[in-house]
Amino acid sequence: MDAAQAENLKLLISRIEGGTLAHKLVTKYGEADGKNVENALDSVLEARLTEVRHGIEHAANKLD
Amino acid sequence: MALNMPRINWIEIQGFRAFGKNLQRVDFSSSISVLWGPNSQGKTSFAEAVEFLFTGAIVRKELLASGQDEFADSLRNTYLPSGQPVFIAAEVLDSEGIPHSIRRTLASDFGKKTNCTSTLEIDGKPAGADGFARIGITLSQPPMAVPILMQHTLGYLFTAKPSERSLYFKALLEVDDLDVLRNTISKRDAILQKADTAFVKKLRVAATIDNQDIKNSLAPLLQLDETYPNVPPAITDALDLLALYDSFEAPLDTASKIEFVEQLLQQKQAMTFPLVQLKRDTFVAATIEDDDLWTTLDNFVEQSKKVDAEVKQLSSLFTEVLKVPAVVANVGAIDCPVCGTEEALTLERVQVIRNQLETSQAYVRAQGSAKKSLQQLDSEIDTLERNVSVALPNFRGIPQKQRKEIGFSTERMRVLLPEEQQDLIQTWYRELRLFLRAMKQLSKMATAIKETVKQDAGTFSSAQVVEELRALLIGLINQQTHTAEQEKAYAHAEQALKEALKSIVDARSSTTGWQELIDIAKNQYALCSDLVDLKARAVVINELTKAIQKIDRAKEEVMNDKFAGMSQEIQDWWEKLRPDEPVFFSGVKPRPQAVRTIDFKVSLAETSERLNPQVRDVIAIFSVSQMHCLGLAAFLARSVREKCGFVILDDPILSSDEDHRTNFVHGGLEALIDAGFQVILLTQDQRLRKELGHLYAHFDIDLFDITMIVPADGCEVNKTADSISSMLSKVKPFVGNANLEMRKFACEKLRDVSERVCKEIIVKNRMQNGDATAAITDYTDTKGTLEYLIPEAAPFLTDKSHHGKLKVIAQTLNPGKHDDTVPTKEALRQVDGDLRYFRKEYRLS
Repeated sequence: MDAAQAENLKLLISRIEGGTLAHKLVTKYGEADGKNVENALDSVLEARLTEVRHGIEHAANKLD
Repeated sequence: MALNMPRINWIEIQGFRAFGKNLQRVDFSSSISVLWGPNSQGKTSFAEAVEFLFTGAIVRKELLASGQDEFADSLRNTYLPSGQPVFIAAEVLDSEGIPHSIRRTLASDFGKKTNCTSTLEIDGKPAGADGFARIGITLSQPPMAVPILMQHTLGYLFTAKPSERSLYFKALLEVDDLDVLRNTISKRDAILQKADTAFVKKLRVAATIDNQDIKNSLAPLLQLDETYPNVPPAITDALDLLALYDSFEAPLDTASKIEFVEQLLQQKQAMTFPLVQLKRDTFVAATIEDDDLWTTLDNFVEQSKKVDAEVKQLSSLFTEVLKVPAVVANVGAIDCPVCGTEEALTLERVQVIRNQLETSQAYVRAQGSAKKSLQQLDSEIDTLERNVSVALPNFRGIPQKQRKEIGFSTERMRVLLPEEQQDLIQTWYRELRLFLRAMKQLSKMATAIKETVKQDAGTFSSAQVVEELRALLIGLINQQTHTAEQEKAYAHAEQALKEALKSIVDARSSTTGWQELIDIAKNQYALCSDLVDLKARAVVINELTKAIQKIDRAKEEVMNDKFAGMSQEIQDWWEKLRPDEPVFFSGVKPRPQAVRTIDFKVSLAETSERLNPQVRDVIAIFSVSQMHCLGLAAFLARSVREKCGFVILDDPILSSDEDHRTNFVHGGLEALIDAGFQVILLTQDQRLRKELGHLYAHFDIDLFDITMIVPADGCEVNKTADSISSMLSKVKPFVGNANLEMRKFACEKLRDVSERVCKEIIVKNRMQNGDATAAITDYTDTKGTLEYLIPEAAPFLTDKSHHGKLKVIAQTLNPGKHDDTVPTKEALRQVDGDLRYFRKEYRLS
């Protein structure tokens, strides 16, 4: 990532609320720095998927 | 001169467009150079030659050509002798100040339907498109990749489609990477869009069972807003409703309900076709761990060889003898406790028995291990036989006569299936035969192994028997692999046939969705898990969509910020070129909610104070002159932003636009040079050349004429500022100047003129005396000083007083050169006058 790209990414991140999925994805994209970007993004989405899945199961168990 | 940007030292052109067979070289020594020439003399060819050098193409074709063939054969000069190459070469200083030689040779011109081709060499080596980047020269986004402004590129921004204009500015603002980021993230939703799992598919089919109550029970599960504890009751309700079709009372527990409905389904289906007869389990190969088996068997064979047959039989007797207390106590020779022979067991004999027994015990242990391994093998073969048995279709367990009675036959299949599906039967039957043959062979081999293993484990003490078993097992493993392959082919054919038959049978028996309901009823936990996953994916896809929207908004904000910066830069240039006008450029920005559209805005005010301006679109308001100015402002802003280092401007100002021209000459060019740029300006305007010559004399401006006298010879470029006449007119404004610095500058320039005068006198005479190689360039460095030149020129002077005059000139100019006392105005005027006299007297340049 060249200096201009790093600057753009910094500006972009600063304009997205921290902790949101958008923030996590963009931050991870920057950390991957062009290498295995797809895997890095998938890891964020997989983590969120697991979280949601557990949430649904937890809610279901409460109703049991 | 800033050295952190590239600049061009010289350019050579041969045979390119208006340039002919004679190589033309242009040396750039100043920050500003002007190439003047009337129309159609080669100025645009020069600009395009530089463009071709860097890109291997000319943008004019891309922007102006309406047909592919219009530019055919347009790059090679029409009059160039065949065989003479077309090339452009240059020396370019990179941002570190290191010189690089670049040469591009035309390989083939534009054809009627083909593009031109060329070869590029950088520093004498072949280079690809990335060659410039490797020497630190970054080309810009096409189509205007090289900082050359020509009449046809000036209007590009206004004539380009909105999307192309948007791409141009995005590239300019270096925000392309944010689009790449956004698109990479948005594509990840395809990963989340997983296909339905088998159980979800079955649920979808089960929900189509022809019963409204069942539909009402199952359909909500697919809405994904149901809570998952609802899955079991919904399925149980559906089973109950099916069971009640044929019975007044459904069984109580779920397992019995499933069994009941399954039987009911089979009965219903059997009336059309007994599909259940095709049912079978998937073949599972047995896991035969042969490594341990062979280790234990080989060890057993080894130990067996060490122990003779008699010891094998007596080993338990020896064990008991060694337990006798007197033997244990090792008291000496005792009577044999078995046969009673007196003092038969001497210490030596006891030791022999101990040794024999020890050997036989190792044998016994090996025998135990071998038996255990063989039992394990036997058990694995049992498993294999069971797997073979259950992998066969149900109809294989029924005699052929009975199969016909229950309606299971290929004839019945043929009746049921439509014409276009008849092939399925043949394929299935062919694969069935191959599969059965493989299974039969596998069973046979399994039986042979079992029989071998059944024999007394003792017989395995023979290495030959072990080898026989090894061969059988290898055969079995190979056959398992073959069988698994046959089963795969059969399963494929079977599945196709079953689906075709099931569809017809279900339709005739009104049992569509029954089997699927049974399947999900048997796998409720898996279905729940799949539904949770499906819902979770839907949630995350929704979140990802919202995340993309947030990224888009943030990206737009970043772009707006950057556009504001860029807009300000264009505006700054605009103000330099057209200050204080009531109609003024006021911004370039992406259209809200349409990032692919870029708008140029103009403000209209009543007076030059620009109070309460009305904002409109540039395209509708600006005159041609204003459009030109905006194009120039955008080009200059871009060049500065991209640190191009040099700019080539081909008549950037309309000659009729007087005010604009003055502002450009005074404000625009000066700002560019101050920013460290090398400016190469091409013009047909004599006045502009003259004005620039005076205005930028302190920069040692390079002035060239570009002319074409004979079209067949092509155009010529000559440096006009080299002539003594030109040098003298350049220095004149400084000669009588009251300012010391100005006079010091004049002193240096007059010294250059004096040296030139001497050089021309010497060279002219040498040539008159037959020295054809004589050249001005023979006199450089120490040979180029007045101290050297005046004595050299002396023999050729036509008047005795001239030598003295030259010596006085040298003396007058010397202090100025060495930073001591600057000559007076009068002294400089005298030198100026003397040099003008010499020029006239000796007919110099």
